[in-house]
Amino acid sequence: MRFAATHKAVSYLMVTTAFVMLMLTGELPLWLSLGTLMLIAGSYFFDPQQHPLMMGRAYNYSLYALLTVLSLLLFGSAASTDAFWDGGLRLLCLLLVCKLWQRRHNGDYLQAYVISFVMLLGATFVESSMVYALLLFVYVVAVIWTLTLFHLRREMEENYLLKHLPGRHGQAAESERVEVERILNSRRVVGPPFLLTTAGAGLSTFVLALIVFVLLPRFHVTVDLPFHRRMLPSTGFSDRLELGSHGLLRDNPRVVMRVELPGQRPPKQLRLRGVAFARYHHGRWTQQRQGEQPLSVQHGVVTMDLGASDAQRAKAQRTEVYLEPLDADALFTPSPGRTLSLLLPESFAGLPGLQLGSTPDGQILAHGRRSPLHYSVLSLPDVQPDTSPDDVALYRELSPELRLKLRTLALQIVGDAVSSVDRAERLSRYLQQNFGYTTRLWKPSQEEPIFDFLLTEKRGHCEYFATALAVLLRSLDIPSRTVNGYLTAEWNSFGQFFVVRQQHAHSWVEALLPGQGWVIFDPTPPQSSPPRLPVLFKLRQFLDGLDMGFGKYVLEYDVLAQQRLSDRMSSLFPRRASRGSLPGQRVSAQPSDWRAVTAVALFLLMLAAVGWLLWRRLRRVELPVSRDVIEGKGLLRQALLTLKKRGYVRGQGETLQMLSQRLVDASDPCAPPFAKLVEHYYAHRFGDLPLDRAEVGRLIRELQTLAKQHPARSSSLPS
Amino acid sequence: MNTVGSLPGATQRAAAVKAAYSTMVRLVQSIGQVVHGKSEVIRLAVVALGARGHILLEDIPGVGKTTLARALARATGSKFRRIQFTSDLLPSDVIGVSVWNEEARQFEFKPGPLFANVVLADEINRAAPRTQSSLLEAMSEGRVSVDHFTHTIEQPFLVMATQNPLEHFGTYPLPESQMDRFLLRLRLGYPSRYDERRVIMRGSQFDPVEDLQPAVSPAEVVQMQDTVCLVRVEESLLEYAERVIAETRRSPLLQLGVSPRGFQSWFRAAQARALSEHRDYCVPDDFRELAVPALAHRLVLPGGSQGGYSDALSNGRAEAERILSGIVERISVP
Repeated sequence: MRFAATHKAVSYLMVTTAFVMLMLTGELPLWLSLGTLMLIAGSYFFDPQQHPLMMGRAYNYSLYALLTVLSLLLFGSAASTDAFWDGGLRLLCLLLVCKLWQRRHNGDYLQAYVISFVMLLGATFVESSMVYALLLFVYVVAVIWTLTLFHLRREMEENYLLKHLPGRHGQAAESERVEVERILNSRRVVGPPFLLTTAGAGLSTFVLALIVFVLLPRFHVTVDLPFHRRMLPSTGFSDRLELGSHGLLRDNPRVVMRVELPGQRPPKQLRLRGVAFARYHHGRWTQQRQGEQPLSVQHGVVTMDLGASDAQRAKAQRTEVYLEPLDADALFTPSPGRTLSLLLPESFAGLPGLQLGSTPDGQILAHGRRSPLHYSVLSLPDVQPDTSPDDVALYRELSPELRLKLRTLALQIVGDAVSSVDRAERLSRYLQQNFGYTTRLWKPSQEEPIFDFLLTEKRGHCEYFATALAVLLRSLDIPSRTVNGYLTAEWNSFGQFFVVRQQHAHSWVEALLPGQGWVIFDPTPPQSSPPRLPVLFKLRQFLDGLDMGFGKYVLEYDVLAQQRLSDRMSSLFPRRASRGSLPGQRVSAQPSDWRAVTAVALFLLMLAAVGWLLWRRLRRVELPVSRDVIEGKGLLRQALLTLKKRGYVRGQGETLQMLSQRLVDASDPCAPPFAKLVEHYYAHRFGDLPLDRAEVGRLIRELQTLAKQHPARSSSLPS
Repeated sequence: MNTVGSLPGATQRAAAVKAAYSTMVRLVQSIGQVVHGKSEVIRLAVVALGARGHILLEDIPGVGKTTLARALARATGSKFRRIQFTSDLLPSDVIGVSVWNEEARQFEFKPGPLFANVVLADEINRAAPRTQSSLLEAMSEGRVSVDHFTHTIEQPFLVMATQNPLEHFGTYPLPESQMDRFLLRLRLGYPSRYDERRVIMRGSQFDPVEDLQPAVSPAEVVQMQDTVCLVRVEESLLEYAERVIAETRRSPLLQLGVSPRGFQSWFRAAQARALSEHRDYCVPDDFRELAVPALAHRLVLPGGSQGGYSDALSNGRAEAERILSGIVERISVP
């Protein structure tokens, strides 16, 4: 590997890794991502040294001026943090591309490294997936390679332009210029041993950091950064909902949360309740938020339902929800079920500007949430939530016009059914069987889109179905409300959790039935899911599982997790307790002792690994045959093969010069290039001189051409 | 010589190599003026000189052995002595004697003909073993011990011995120890028709060797000899040489293989040969080409007949050379 080429390659690896990390956060628009990637790739094959224009001062100044204007435009017009953030990212991409297309000397590389580091920082603010961790590892390794080579090159190019030779017989030292060009093109400076050893160093750094991470006591420090992860857009979870007004999320596979059900068999599908809407008016649902009660968090526990008995609490099931930063303040709870309490992470109290509240219709709201959140829900799955009789009137409310028009329709549909349950079921079934599902939006012709849906269009998406059912129920004086949440059937068998994606967003109806509480009705007809490739699906699930593990075991690794780990470790190795000591003392001493033992063992392991690496390296230095020599042999083998075809087979004890002499004696036309080739090979192999690859390649080609032009005579074949 | 990562003093080294090469070239050219058509032998003689070795010329009379030795002496501008070995030659005739100096009232050493830079030991196998052995110390250590005194012979010092392979009546074959001290054994052979005619037409009224001007100084020769040690030998070449040596020791066809001294000589000779081709590193050919001249005479065939000399002298020699050639042909070169 040529020194300069290796330096360039590892520099590009580092810079591209940082850019890809930034790209994967999804903060960059697609055109910018692809454009920058293509420009980076293009610059790799572009040599600015060959273009005097790029090296000139005029070009430089005009570029600086352009960049200054652009940054002024970007930041001057940035009204909000988000705009500032977007502008900054665009400028970074532009700067990187400019630097890479203008690699005039080593210093330009350094600037590209700095830009890549800023990109890495940017990605760190917002990204926290497994892919990020993997790329970070690649970056760490690439950084070590790159910076080592960069400094080597700088020392050579800038500091040591002279090489000193010891003076002879008391004379002053002689000096001669170091041939920078030659060293840059040398293949002897860096090779696989260098790359492997430094990659090993990177790996051990990473492992060391991991050990420190595991062993160091976790203090929870929350930093409120000016930049934050962009919230995932969501629809239907704000305090109002307009029918037919929003775009569709049907095809968006972005994960919004992952849900674990510890100790339970996974059901076929999981329904997660987000927000409920109480008031309906002209195609618009609004929430009832007046009665919102602030919730207090005590040691990470929020008790919701004070009325539950201890026996009920013992039967409660836990649901672990890992929520991505969704642009909605609702917290999701499993449905059907009565939420008893909410367990929040230790760090929850430290999250700034965050407030919890609950509304009378059973929603839990977390205001001011800007980061991913992990919480557990304790709920009773079989018990339907109830509502106090005062509030019921709200869920019967309907405009007189609607009531008038729909009551007839509703009564037609329910027919002879009398009980609320039967009526609700018939209505639901009617919608399911006679209406079609479509995600295509149609324009409502009147003020009341539900008439369009029920009477003319007869097709729509889940919100239409839910609204239609709710309204029909209300026309029959059955209290009802629509609920927006998620309905998922995607069970990740790798990570044992349910995956909830944007496309799983759903709407359904809750009806208050006498003696049963709020019962769920889902009038939306089942849709056929789009076909998917099983392999890709499995792969996506696997990656998802990794991400989940990363979040669970790395991002959420806190003091409690540390304690649990150390407990588990100590239970793996039962301690021989000294009988004399007090039991209490023993227990308290246990975790720290084990931590110390593990630390010492890991330290010794690391030491051994480093020693082994060093020993290998030293041994390698002693080995006389370098890889370059083998390469030289490879080149020679080609020539020998050509000669073999001509009938000149090298004898076992025959040297190359003897073979060459044999060619001369036979006055073979191939003799002159072969003699020169042997000379080059000898000088390289035994004289330790660098192989002139171009010349050797030319000689081999010449040899092969001559061999073709002059076919072997029978006399030259060995007797 | 500008290699990457060159050792300190690479420039001096390159200069030394250049100077030594120039010395060798001038010597070869100079000797070539009087010994016609024997450039290969001349080159090997110069190589032997560079390796501080001695030469055993084995050939029939009248092919130019003496001329070669004298030309070598003349070309180096050094002192030349010739000793005609006969059966009654005594060691003191070779190395010198201590005589009583009446005035100084002490013994005074009168150096013999051995005290020269180039010594031609003509028909060495005619002298008694005792006389032959008197050369041993001088050849290997460059000094002579007489009566508790050690006299150093000035450098460069080269013994060129000749022997006639055909005549063996009244001759004493050289012992192994003596053979081992010769670096190379060379043969001149008949000159080509053209060269022979040139020699004849030259006439005999004047001696061309006498007219030969010194091409180099003895100091230059010593410097050249010092430079030989600087020639690099790559690890794989050393391994190759070791394999060949081990094979001669293991071979059932040989009673005695090559001694460590023989190996050392071969190694040094290969270094000198590299220098003669203006290289500061050895290549496989240096070893391969010198294997027979440097090693064959050291081998002892079963039944006590020496590779160098035997009752059936030429047969034993041919046999040893054949076995050695077989060995080097079998062992693959790096």
